[in-house]
Amino acid sequence: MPGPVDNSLYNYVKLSFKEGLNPNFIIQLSDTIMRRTWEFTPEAELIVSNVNDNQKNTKLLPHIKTRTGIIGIERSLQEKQKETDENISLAFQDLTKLMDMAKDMVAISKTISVKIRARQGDITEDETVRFKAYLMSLGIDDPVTRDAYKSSNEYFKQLAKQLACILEEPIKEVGGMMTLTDVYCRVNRARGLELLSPEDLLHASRQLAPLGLPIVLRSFDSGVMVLQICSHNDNAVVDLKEKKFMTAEDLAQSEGISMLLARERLLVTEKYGKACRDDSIEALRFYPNLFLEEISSE
Amino acid sequence: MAEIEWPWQYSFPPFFTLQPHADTRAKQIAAWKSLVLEYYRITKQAVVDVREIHTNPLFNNASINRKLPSEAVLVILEELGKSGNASPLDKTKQRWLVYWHTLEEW
Repeated sequence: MPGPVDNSLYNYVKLSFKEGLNPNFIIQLSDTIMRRTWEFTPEAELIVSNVNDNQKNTKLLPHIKTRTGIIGIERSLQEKQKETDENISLAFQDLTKLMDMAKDMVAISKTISVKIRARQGDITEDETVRFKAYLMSLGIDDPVTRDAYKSSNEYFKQLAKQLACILEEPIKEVGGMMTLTDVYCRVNRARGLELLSPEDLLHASRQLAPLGLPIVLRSFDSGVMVLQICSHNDNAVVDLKEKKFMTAEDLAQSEGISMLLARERLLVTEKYGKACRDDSIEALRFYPNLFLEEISSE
Repeated sequence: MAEIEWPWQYSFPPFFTLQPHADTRAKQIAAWKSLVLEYYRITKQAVVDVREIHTNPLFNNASINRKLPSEAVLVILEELGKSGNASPLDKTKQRWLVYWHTLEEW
């Protein structure tokens, strides 16, 4: 019977040697038989398996413990912590790898930008468009070297069109003008996912005028930026003539617009020479500009 | 003290705030200049002290509760000085002499 078997019908073992017999073998064999090694080995194995059982038991015991008592809770918390620790360290390992990759990308894109500079093209070539898209997806903003080659990204253009589409009605409702922060709130609240970053919104808004869309970006002297309907012009002067004077709050209330916008509108009116100010402790009031009007009527 | 006929600007609150708009400001200062000269001629005074202007009804209209700030008074006096109707009495420009007529006119 070739090969080892677990059980045998026979109570003897027959050994045959085809290529001579090493005399050491018989000595070793008789030695082993004398020492009854086969009886010893299973015993040792038994001990080992017992130890294993014990370990299993000790492992089982805390497992039971986790269900009951404060110690159990603490233990499960500890286990969870260990798990998250491992996850975090794993994540960071991945991150560093990812960042290494990104670094390469940055280096490559810089060399490409140098090449584009050498070419000196101010037309919106397809290549530069694509390059800009790559930069966007990497999160590298490099407008200083890029602006000369390509007015802005395709993405912004599309976004600008979308903005014009969704904002035209709301802006008309609030009187033809909306601050950029309000726009930001509105658009992102409507979106829910795939939100816009402030930069995206600003860049897209800058594209509104070149694309000939019905709303345009406008920045006041104070730096406040608004989107306004093209047909809208500053009509705060009319309000001033109806009343004797007006503060920003008054205008905000009567027009139903924000304080910020009311103030800007009054300041613009003043800039056009249609209003003059009365600055006192009470408030900053705006009056119709009688200085210029009285003299012209005389 | 002789009665003064106040111009309409005197009861117009923005008159007491220096206007930021260039044209408006020019008109405002011109109005102030003529008012100051008129006032000093009628009250027969000649010395303006910038530190005491707020006791002066000219720069302090109690009826509409407005005062012309000192900086604005200085601006007006400087303008008067340019046209020869006033001159500072000290180097810190706190006291000014107002001429009802310019020296050339005399």
